[in-house]
Amino acid sequence: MNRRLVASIVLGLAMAGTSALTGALTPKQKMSDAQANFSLEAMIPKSFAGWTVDTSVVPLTPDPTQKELIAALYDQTLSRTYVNAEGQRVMLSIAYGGDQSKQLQLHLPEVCYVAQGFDMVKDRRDELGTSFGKLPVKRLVARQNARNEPITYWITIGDKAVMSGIDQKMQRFMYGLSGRIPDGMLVRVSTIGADEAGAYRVQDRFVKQMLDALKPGDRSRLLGAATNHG
Amino acid sequence: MDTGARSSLPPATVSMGALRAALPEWWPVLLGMAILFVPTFYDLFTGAWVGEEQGHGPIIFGLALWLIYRKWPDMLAATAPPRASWAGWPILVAGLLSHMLGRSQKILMLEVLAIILVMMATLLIKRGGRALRVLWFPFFFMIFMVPLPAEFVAAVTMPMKMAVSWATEHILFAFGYPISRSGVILQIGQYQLLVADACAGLQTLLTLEALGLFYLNLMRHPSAFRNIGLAIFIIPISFSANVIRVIVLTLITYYYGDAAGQGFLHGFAGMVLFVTALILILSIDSALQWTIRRREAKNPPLRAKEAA
Repeated sequence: MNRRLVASIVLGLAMAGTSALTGALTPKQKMSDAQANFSLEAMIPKSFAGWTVDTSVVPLTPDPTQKELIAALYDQTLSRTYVNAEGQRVMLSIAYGGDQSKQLQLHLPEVCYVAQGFDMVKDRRDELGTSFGKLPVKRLVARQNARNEPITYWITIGDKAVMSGIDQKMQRFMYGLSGRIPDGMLVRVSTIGADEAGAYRVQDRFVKQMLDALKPGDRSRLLGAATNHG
Repeated sequence: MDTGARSSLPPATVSMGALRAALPEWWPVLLGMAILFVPTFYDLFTGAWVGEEQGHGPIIFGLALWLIYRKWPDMLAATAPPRASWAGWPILVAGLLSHMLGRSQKILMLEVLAIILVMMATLLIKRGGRALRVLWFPFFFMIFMVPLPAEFVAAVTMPMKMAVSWATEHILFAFGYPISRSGVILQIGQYQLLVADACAGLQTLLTLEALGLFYLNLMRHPSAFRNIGLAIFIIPISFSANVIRVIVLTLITYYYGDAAGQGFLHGFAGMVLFVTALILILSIDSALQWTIRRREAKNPPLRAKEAA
């Protein structure tokens, strides 16, 4: 055997070996399969702590071209507006995707709002204290003409609530390396109004009361089991 | 600078006989590549490469393979006898690692990058550094098929969309149309149009730039002025072509209604885009050539054959 054939064989073996190793490394086990089926619609109560569903206002929904994407992205979505006795309105939007690998990732509000012509005027990280531990949340303010909309949202990847962006990617990656395909949830609340500080107070109260009203199993689904210290 | 071997070979032919002669030495590499990349290509051709965003991928890969095939005899002649380059092994490791990570964690950018790296490493190990020097262009060209990171695309797309909407608004307003804009939403007459991501033209820009470079490589024009000039001009050309497409779509919607703007005329506007870009590229190319000729007519060139 000459040296050139040896080089070829080494090359070929390295490639074939990599292919086999890649196959072994690829995560196949979906975390969502291991859990019981659930329905967002049934899970979130229609009225709690003075909040009731208001059917007259609909939260921002994607335009038709985005709808196709959303349908591919998410297994379940929920979109409701709640109103209380003082006339405060909070829009709640929850999206759940069972497969957070590859392109099927959560569609972040930063992208979603801007794509529909909103200006994202503010964007910062924050923490929201609940009775069940602190949640890492994003606070946004989207604006379009006269509509000023402060937004609070958080996401979970697998069983952990994470900050969107790098943390979200890392979390997904860690799951991937451990051979599991994580699921993901995005919970978004927003109000329309010029007073941001007031809006966030209403949103925080709404989130806390909603979490208190949920059954423990459903709550850990929204918060991520690992975040749930309570 | 070369041995005479180059001219003795008929250009751009790899005969069946030569192929059969190379097989005993090359079969392990070909088999390895098939095992490694067939799953990748299967996924690409049933996924990313049929979509709108990466639709230029297969075109670029095909053209690059054709360029490699065309230059293969040149490469063989330039590397006889072959001297393996050790630089190939670390590149091979990098390529295989990026395949492993990219494929198992679904990071398309790494998986596609691996195709280029592994091909490069194979060439270096089998034929040496000179081979890569002959074939540098197809490898450089293939960089255009590597998908950009989503964060980068998102960061660049928004300002581009803004600029396209802004230009459309101002041009149509100057022509007396009842148009107004808020962010990336255009309001013309009773219709409201949202300038979508595809209209930002990042994909158009990359595709046009790649095809422009391909055209320049084929033409082998000796003037660096013309080559670099055209490569730079492609950026404003692709922007103008995009603005023209959005203007055409806006006017179609204005005169024929929403359904027409979203229907088959949407595809028509896409064709307008590429035809405009082509016409602009060809006219700029002619203008550059004309400038070169004029300059050379003024001060007679030392190398007369360039003027021809």
